[in-house]
Amino acid sequence: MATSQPEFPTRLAEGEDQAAALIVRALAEPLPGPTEQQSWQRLRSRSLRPTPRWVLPAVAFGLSALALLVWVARPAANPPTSLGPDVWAQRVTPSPAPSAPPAPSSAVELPEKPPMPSEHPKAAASASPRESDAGQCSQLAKAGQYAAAATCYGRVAHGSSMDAELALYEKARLEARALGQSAQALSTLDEHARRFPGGVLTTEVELTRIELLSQLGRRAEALSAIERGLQGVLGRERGGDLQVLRAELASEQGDCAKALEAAQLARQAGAHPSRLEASERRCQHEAENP
Amino acid sequence: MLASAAASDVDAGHDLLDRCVAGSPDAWRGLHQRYHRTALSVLRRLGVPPSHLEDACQEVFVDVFRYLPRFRREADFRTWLYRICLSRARVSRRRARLWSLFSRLSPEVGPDLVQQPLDEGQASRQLARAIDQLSEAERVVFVLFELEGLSGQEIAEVIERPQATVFRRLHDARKRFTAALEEGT
Repeated sequence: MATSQPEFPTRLAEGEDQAAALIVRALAEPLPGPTEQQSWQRLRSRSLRPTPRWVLPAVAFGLSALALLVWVARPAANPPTSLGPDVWAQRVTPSPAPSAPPAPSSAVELPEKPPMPSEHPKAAASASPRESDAGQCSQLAKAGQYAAAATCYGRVAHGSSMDAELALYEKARLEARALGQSAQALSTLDEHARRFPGGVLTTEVELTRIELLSQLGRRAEALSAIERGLQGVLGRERGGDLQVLRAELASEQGDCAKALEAAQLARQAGAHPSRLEASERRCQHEAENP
Repeated sequence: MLASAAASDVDAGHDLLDRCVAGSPDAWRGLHQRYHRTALSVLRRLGVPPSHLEDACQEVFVDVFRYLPRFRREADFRTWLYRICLSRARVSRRRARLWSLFSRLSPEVGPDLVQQPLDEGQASRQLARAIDQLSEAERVVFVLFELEGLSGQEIAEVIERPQATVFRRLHDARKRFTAALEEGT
């Protein structure tokens, strides 16, 4: 007899009790921690080469021996200062061979030549003042001062560095999602595409642009952009997302053949079925009521 | 209404992963952009204190970059990423507990690491306190199901247990979570 899978309940957030309200509120709040841009900057500066296992014990042994030598050799009138490193000057760094290594089903072995993200040529222009400026912009956004944050990002977005590229995109995102200024956000993204063709955020910019066109009711333009996107890099990297948008727009226009085709392609690309419910329901309704 | 495409709703395609393995900086950047928020969210909801969140998130992506060439892609990339996050969250919480103990023993050394930063919302703090009442196993299932929106099958793949186990842990987690809220923890 086949074992049936349990039927999972609906999520707490979909209810109307205290738990649901708390979860919904908590998920709407911004997360603490660095922005993606800050995290990436820091990651780029790290070495990804795994340290051989013998190095840390050898270093520890060497330091201990040196400390002992210093202790023994110093005159009595000049006792040594603290031998240990200042705790608060010491960053918490990960061990190269983690004590609890990730346990994917795949075999986990150190690669012979671990990949190291090489320096982006545009990133050479980024300097610490820019990073702290972007950090200030991020703090403004976290504090809910979205208009000020957008202005701040606009100031950082001068020049041709990667920081400028990222700042301009952040400005567009704030305008679109926090300030409700879709038209302004679209204009910012157009500027982004002009100033940074082939930049690191090209696919994100294109996708966000398509979403905004749709939100502004410019469905024909959005569909054209989707068809163009499907032919290029955007289609290869985010084909599923594009098909979801295509299904949504086509169903709104009453083109159910296209909508259902797009929904099918979206599912094949791995899109979550919940994202296709609205467009499929719309077409099902039209099929039942021609 | 058109929903904004969440970056990781559609799993990273093989093309992107291939380009990452080939060493394309743009591909690495793209991967980091797509999953940074996911990793941050999962780590925080699994109880990594905000003071350790940045380091934990860094460690997740260091692991991703380091081990991606060995990732056999039998599971989705997102499943694999969640496994790394679970592992790193465990390490970070253990480390945070040690630091907390250290700072209590030596109060003159520095600021209390267990202080909640002011930039985290009240609801998030309350949620974190309630989730902290769950056991390790319950917490994982609860966070992945209730907050990250994974299905029972997806969670079963992440933690490599049967769906029935996921169901039972979720049931227990919900009871404990609800009780914690009622107690005002």
